[in-house]
Amino acid sequence: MSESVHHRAPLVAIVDDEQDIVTYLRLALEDQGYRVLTVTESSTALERLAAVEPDVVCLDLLMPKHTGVALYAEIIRHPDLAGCPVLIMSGLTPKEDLPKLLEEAGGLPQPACFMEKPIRVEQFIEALSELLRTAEGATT
Amino acid sequence: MSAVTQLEDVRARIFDEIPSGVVLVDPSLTIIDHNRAFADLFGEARGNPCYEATKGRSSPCPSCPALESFSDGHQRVIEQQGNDSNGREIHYLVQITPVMGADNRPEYVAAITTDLTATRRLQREYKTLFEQVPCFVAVINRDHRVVKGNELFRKTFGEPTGEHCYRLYKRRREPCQKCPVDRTFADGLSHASRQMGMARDGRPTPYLVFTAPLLADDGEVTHVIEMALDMTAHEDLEQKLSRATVLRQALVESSLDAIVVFDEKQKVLLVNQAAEDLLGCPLDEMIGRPAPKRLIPKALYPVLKGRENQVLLHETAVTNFAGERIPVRIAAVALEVDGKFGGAALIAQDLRELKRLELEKMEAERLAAVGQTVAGLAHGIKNILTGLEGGMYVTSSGLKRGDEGRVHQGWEMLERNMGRISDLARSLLAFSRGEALTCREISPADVVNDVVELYRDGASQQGIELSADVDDGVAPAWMDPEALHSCLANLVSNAVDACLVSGNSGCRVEVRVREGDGVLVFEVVDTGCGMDYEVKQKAFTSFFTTKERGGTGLGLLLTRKIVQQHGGSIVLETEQGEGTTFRLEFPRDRLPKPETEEE
Repeated sequence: MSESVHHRAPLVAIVDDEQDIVTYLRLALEDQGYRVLTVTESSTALERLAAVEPDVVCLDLLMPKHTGVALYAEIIRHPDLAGCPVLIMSGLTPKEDLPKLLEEAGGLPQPACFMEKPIRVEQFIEALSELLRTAEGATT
Repeated sequence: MSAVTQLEDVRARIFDEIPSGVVLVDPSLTIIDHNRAFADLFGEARGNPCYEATKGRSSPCPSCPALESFSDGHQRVIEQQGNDSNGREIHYLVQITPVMGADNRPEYVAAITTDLTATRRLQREYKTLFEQVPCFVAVINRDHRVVKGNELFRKTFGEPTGEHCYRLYKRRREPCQKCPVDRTFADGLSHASRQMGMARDGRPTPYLVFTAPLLADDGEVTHVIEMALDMTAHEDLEQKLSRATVLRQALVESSLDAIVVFDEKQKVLLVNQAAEDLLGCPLDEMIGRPAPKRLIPKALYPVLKGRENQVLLHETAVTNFAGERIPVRIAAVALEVDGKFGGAALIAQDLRELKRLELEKMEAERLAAVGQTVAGLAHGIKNILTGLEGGMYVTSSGLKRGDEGRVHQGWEMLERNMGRISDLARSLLAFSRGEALTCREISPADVVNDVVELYRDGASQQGIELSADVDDGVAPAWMDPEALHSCLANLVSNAVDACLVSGNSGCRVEVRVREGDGVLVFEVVDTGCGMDYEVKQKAFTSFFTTKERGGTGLGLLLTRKIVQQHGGSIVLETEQGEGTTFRLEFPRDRLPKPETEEE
């Protein structure tokens, strides 16, 4: 990663169909100085993500039309998004529901991070910065 | 006429009337005279040689008894074989008597012939009978030795060379204790008995034995004729039959199904234990009496009266002696005896246990649905809580910054999510109330037409064609019309949404009703967006919704609940991008039943 990129704030993509949650997370992240891309329409999400190549994707699992798991599978397989950590946020339980869902979808790998809803802002920001630190460490 | 002439005339008439053939032959063997019986046998033969008349020969026989009597003047009796006037072979006994002339030498011989043909035929027939009869026949002397045996006897035991009967039949070394032959020798009467013998391979062989005396001229029993019939096959058959009878009895007795057999006058002939348990009446009180009418569904009477062969009622109820209504599956079968109606059998399966299991299964399904509901509830609440969390963050951060716009935005978020919590609670309450069905006899087609009528205009305005496909042959059904209406309305509403989401123009939704194999089938078919695997998996999960404009996520769950309450099930067929079919299947025999329904 070039030096100039280091000086720019990380870009976080939020993909969720619940408008209130998107607003909440966008404001919380912007308050911390992150750049934010919000996507509420899952059918065009992959196209938009690939276009901006965010530093991290926060993805809701159960969305209409193009469901979260299908989108997750496409993100991790997309060449332009390879290495982009995915934070999955869902009302599902991480120990029971998530592994089952990933298994049913053809054995997808665990996401870089999982946050169970409801999401508290401090934990969310902490998890995100940890994720970015790890990702940065991996690329340097 | 003088006395002498009169006597001659009588003699001539007697000569002619003698039933045996009498012939008078001169020394040249020419027949001088014969009576009518001889002519009847050999034809008119006066003046012909005797060998020609009786044997069709052209020269005297090699050892002619007539010539011998001419020669020695003695009488002789011999058995001869010849041919009658029709060429038929005959056997006859000839008694030859010389008639002495004046020189005391035979002038003629008189031959008296007695026809033995019938006797010989009878003898042959008796011999054939003796030989061919399909049992062992032996002639046994006082010493228990077999002096003659028939063909089967010889084939089985070999030529009877004076062997003892007890050795041949039983492989014994000394006479039997209770010897039937001895008995007949002792009293001169016929006897029958059962004897156990032993075959050459050591296999015990049961015999049925008849003995009869053979008498000498003086009435003394010289031999006994013994007939022995090998009963092995017969006894095997008897055993098999008896075993089959016992097994059949055990089968009827131990059957879990109640079995009652009636005679042709509908009186009880046979009842098994299961029937006693089901009907609650002791067996001995039922036998020989007509069964109380309340025990037998009316539809079975045509079979009991021999007017129909078989009737099966998949589900009905009988009232037992204690007055209890018992759900049963029952079959009546007419029984044929000697080609005529001889009664009927009722076979009833007690469905109480099955019904209990069905209820348990429905309860288990309900509990599973409750489990899914709780899981879905937690998931739904978590989303709302996140919204509330967000509302609090936005409000408080707005307050900190003195940003009134943000405070307002946060407050709206709080209000919105509080509203969602209220909606959720209301829906949950509606779902969990578990209202009982209010059933009546309805026309399934009418409900389909009502739902289509209700949604047609709304759908049409959004470019979706909604139609009904109703099979006119569908019979009325005992169902809750409002509940069924809300099921179909919910599915139609979903189908319309699926069409809208697909973005395709010219989408169609069709609501169908038909019936086949005792199953009432409703279908809601759309050509909308269809579902992917994940959505399909979650379709019946509460609070799972794909509707962007809201939806409690309880619709399908409620629909399934109502369908299950009617004893039915839902089938979901979907193909992403192609469309979805929801099929509600209601087996007629599982539909709710009117309380007072009588079969």
